[in-house]
Order: sequence, then C-alpha cells, then structure tokens
Amino acid sequence: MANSIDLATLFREQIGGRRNLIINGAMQVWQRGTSQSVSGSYAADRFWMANASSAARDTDAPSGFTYSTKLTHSASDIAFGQPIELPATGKQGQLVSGQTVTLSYYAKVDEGTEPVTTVINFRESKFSGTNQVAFTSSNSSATWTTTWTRYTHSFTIPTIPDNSNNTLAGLEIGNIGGTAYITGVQLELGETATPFEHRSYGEELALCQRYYEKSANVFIREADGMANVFFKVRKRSYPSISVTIGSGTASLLEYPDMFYVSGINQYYAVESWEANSEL
Amino acid sequence: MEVTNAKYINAATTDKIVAIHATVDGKETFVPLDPANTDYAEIMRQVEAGELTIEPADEPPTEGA
Repeated sequence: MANSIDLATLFREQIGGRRNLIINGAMQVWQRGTSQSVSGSYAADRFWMANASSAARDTDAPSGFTYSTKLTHSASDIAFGQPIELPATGKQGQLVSGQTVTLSYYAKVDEGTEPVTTVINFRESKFSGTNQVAFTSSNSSATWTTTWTRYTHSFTIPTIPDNSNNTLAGLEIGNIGGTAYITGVQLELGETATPFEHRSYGEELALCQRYYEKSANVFIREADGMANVFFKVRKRSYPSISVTIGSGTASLLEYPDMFYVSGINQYYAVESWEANSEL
Repeated sequence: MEVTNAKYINAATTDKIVAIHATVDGKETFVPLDPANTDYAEIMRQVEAGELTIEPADEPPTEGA
C-alpha cells in the first residue's frame, strides 16, 4: 500500500514524538510581532525571510493548521528559511553523513504557478557561504499552485569537514517570485514524510525562547540600585539585550540565564526587554 | 545589520569590559563579547572591514570620587 510504514521502517526511521527538527513549523509563535518587513530578519519565530516586502501571520492555512506565513512579493525573488542548530560547532550529531532527511511543507501562491528551489547547507552562519557543505537531492524543486499542497523533498546528508566552524544546518526555500503562503514545515530523519508533528503553543514558545525572548511589561524590585532579570529559557549563547527603561540604566551581562540593570531608584525599572541569541 | 554609536562598556561593579553598547537596526542594544553571538560576530566583521569603529569604555570612577 502506498505511503504505508512497515515494521522495518518503524525501527529504521523515527515516527514517534520529536520527529520534527524544525521549530515553530506551524507558524504559531510570533514574538517580534505578526508582520515584519526588514529583509534578512526573523518573522515567525525561527524563520527568516529575505526580499519580501513583508512576512506576516495569516489565517489562510490548510486543514489542520491555524496560521501560515504570508510572504508578500515586491521586486526580487523571496527566500525563506530556518537555521537548525547543531549540537556543537562542527558536530553533526543525529544528522549522520550518508543518511537521508526529508523535508515537507504546505504552500500555495496567490495566482498562477511558482517554481521554487529548496536547499539545505551546513554553514557557519545563516547567510555566509564560508565552508558551506551542501546536502544533495534529486528532487529539490517544486512548482507551487493556488491550491494548498504538501510538498516533500529528500536530501542526503554530507560530511562536515574536520576543523570547520559550521554551527547550523540552514534550510532555505528560494526563488519565490510571487506572493506565497507556507506552513507545516517539517524536517525529519528518514526517507518518509510522516504527518506533521503538531506541538502545543507552549512547547513551541519554549523552544523558540532559546534563541529569542521578549518580555511583557515587567516590574523589577531593586536592591542596592541593581536588579537581576532572569530569562525563562537559557539562551543558546550570551544574548544581545535591548531594554526599554522606566528608570535606571541597563548594564550587563555575562550570563546566558540573566542580565542586570543598575542605577535603579524605584521599583518600576525596566518596562520591557528583548534577548536575542539567534543563529 | 545597521550598527551605529558603538561603545564598549564596563560591568557595573568592575572595570572589566563586558559588552558593546550600540544602536542595532535602530534599537539600543547591549551586545556581549561572545563570538557565538551573531550580533557580536557581525560587529567584529564590520570593524575588520573598516566600516565601524567602537569607542572605548568610560574610565571607571576613582575611589572616593
């Protein structure tokens, strides 16, 4: 029977929980706001876009999903992707050389058809090709239509060179020449695209907060003119901090778990803050 | 990434330089001296390319001042 999973596959490939290597694949979490227009920036948490006039949350979504990302086309072809953190610099962990990963996602365009190309690369940073190593694929292209469709692509995992500083596997869907919608992005080990692994908003938010966390308005009780602010989730690296100060001066910052402010003379010290540790 | 007004800053209680205070894409930001932080990596790239200068930190206050 087509698309069935036999016992051998059950043990060879992951079909249990935590299959999806992509975070926020259902476009649920938008800590930075539900519309972004800066090329190269993150829109839905963990997903960056380039060359779109905007990347915005949209309720046009396939059955089983609440949201998609709408990529509004202006002049240049749009690119859209997510950097997947490796377990350590130069270490590919579960992405074993020679094995297969399968990408799946749902997409559609506003009008006509749109040929797109998908690539995955081990990279040092998300927009740098230095020491890049490409995953290989025989079906990396697709043509999107005006109907929500699930597309799948399989890739063979390459070997990271010794002594490289690669920190991520960069997924990138490019050559998007029209306004498009995408959701349900999943990358999993094995040759089969299994059903999308839905995770709760709380789970996805916590996974996203390893890389970026934005507070609501907060009250901070000072002690001796200083106050500590603790993150909900330990960050990937020491994060950059942006603060909106009610009173006092932000100071910093030698920890992945917290930052502190100094020069405070009242309880209401920091109105809000952002911690950025994105790849 | 647009970086302006970059300046090293000391920790609040010591004269150890712990971060760069800068305007990053229009937002006042404190960037740690961590090569794994992508903002720091980009700032250092701009410095090496001659596109950005980081002002030195203020002198720490002298005792009794």
